[in-house]
Amino acid sequence: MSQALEKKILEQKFLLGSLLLAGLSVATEIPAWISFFSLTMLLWRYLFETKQVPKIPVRLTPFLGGTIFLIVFLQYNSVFGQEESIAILQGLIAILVLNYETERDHLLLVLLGFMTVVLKSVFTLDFIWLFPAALAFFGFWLTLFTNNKINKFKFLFKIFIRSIPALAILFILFPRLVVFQTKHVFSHAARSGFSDTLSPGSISQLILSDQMVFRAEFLSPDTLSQQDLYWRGAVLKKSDGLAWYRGSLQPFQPKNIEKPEISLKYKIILEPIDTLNLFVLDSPLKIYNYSQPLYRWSTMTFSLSEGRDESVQYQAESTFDDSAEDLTDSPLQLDYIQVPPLPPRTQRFINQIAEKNNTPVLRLKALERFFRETGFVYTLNPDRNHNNLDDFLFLKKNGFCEHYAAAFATLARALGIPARVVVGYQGGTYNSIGSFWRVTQKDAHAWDEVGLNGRWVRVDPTAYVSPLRVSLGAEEFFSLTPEDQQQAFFVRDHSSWAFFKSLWSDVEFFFENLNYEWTNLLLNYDLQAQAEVFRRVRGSWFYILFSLLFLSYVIRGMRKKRAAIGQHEFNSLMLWLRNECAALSVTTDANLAPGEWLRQLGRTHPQGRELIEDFLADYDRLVYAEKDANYSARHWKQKWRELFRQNKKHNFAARQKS
Amino acid sequence: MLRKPKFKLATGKTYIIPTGFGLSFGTLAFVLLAMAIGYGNNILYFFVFLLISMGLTTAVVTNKNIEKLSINDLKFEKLFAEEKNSLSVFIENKDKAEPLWDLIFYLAEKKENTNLVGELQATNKLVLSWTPQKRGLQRLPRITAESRFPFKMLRAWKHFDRADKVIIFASRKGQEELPPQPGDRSGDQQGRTESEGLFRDYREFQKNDAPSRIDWRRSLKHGKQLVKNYEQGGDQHIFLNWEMSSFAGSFEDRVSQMSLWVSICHERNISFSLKIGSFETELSDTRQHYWACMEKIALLTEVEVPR
Repeated sequence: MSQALEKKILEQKFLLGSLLLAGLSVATEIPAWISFFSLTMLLWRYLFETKQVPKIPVRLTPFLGGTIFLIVFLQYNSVFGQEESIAILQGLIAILVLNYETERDHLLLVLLGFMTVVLKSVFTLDFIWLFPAALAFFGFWLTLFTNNKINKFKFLFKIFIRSIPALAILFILFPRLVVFQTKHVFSHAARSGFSDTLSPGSISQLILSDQMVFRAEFLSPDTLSQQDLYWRGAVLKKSDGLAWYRGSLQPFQPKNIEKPEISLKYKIILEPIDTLNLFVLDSPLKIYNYSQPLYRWSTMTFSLSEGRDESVQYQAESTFDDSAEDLTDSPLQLDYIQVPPLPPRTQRFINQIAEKNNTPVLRLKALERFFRETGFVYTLNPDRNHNNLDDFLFLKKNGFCEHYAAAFATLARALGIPARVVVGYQGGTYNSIGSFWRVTQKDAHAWDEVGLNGRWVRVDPTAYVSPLRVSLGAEEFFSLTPEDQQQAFFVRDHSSWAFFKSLWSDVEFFFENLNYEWTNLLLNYDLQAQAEVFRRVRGSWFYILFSLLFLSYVIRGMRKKRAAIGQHEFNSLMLWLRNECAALSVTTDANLAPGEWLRQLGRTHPQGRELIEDFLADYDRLVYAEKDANYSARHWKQKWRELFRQNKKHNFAARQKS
Repeated sequence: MLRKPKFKLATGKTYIIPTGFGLSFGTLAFVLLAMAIGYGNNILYFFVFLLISMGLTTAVVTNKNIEKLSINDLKFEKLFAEEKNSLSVFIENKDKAEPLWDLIFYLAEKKENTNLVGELQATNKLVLSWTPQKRGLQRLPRITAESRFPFKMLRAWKHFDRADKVIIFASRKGQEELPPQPGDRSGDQQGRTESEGLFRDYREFQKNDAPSRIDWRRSLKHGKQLVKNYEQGGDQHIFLNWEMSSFAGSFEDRVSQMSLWVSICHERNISFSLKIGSFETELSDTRQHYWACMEKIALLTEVEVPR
């Protein structure tokens, strides 16, 4: 295998293409100097093969390799980490490309290429990012074929299809035991999330990002509309005016153990973001199908016990009555009406409302009118320095959800109404192809809960200021002009431009759905999912076995038999051949038997003698040995046509010459 | 008398082992599997299992590529020791659905004389060369068919052995001039036979030629000693006996000399007789006579010839 073949890498199109694709897929994980080094080596190789530029002496190769190790070590203080390994791997590939000569070099490059492609998945789990890596993966297999007669794509596809059963069995049955744990370094994972504090500006930072936070799929037949989707993450109890804090948390103690009349089940696949919160809809009953330890708090929120670096999947159930409520978190607690000292103008305003409205409901209505009718504007770029409540409420009057939620809760408390701020996400984008909601950082939101009649009731002051933010959803809302954002209603555009936008959305939804299924079926297949599969299989193993046997029988039956030429086909073929020869004015004796006629043709047209001999061999095999012919009628027609074409070209060239 | 028997091959088992590349591939898959377990990463698992399952499928394809191969027939003419002989091998693909690819054929362990078949649809014929070292009854060397198709990760092979023996004629070496006959007109050691015909050409004098055969005029002109060669006549015959090869030296050299003379007689259609020890034939130029004589020479032992 190691014979010197003096191979040219520029002639190895699949190898070169696959190496470039693999390199491209890990380009964001490696230092820039490695990319530059790789491209330089490739350019040098190109010049060596095309312009006869001298090659770097082979004896310098260990020096180059050693230098790469040294620089990587100096940069990372190690050579064993995830990023270090991929950098060294790319460096070695570049050196090997430069010195590519033998079959052994080729095989080594393929192995390193496989390794690069597979290691890409250590950095990202995103379907789209892995697409070029997967293309490169199949490209490397293609380079291993040596036979030029074979249809490589078709054969590789066949091998891939035949590999699927083994792949499925291995993937499903291989135990997902945690033997030793290595930490990922996800380069494309969202790094932002909610903290335990809500201060002006914290959510606007999130809203600027398009990062996926989670996908939600309703498992019950009933679903909620955009404006009812409030995904709660954390509840903030302590107020400092416009800044709010979580305060101490109490474990959940159920008040009511009766089964609720109406409940909504849904599945959440949470991306790796820096938050311990698990997002649920209002009045959550429970979270299930989640194997890791988690906390349930009296504030109707859930959180993980420790951070995570990969996506998690869980199912949850929410209800619309008070069956999910907690004993220890009653709105009647004094904590929920405590307010910091208010600025003078705010205090006067509170006093006025309290005098005119003597019930909590009327007071809340008065606050709603205040926010709805006194010129508040929703904007992500509010005037700075409105940590002062007076300035915000009576002078600047602009801000976004966190300002309104924080101010409204403070005012409610000042009016003696228990209130708290909830942070999480509102709405999302519905993917009609995959029937799930995609929630991104753009959907980050803050709203309030007020205590009425001993129960917590959701109030969203942002909806008073900007109803479209809640009814349209963040994605569409932020695509509007600032003027349109302030309107109460919005009429959708039905022009041709809107049609193309909608078409583009469908394409996005399609890929998004692929990514969702990819995550749902593949990435979240853990020990628990495996146990579930085993449980299902145990009950129906007979049917599965029977189906597999039946499938294998069908596949065997579908295998195409070689189209052996029979006597009848041969006669038809001979007739066709004689007609073709006549059409080409090839003079032959029509009275001769097929074998003799062919021999005569070979004598008069020596350029076709080789083909005629092979054809005669098949004829003899068929007629005298009474066996199947070697090739099909189609094969022979193709060969004859090729000969006729060559003959025509030859005759034409001869005529041109004469 | 031994005759060329009907050919029959014993087909061996199909063996399959990983190549160096296959072992490297396996090691890589193992390392990546360890990483997948360590990271608990399902995409790593997916790619590793895809690598492994494609490797397993490859093993099945490589194995089938040899398993479905059969050798239907093996044809050869005369086989001579120390000469390159051609063996025609007729191969068949028993799989009716798919062709076989990249088959390498070679004899025994001598892989340098390989023959590559890129694609085998149904049947094909290939020629392998074989140089036996000794004369006599021998087994044909085993034919090995090997394949590393499709990805060179595995090497599968199968041996085809012939159970019975074939006869290898003695090597044809020595003096090409036929031996002088009793009653030759010049009495030369290596004179012309009675039925020598017309002059053909000149050749250089050799040590066994009679000096009287030298054409001195021609020799002076060309500066070297030349003797005349003559065409064989139409009704030639020659008596060959073991004693005539006494000049050749060792027993094996004499056997080779006899083999050469008999072959020359057969090629030139000269009627000949052969006497070696108690073995004696009548004058004949038939193929059967030639085979009988060559077989006798091939199987000749020292005890059968007069010392």
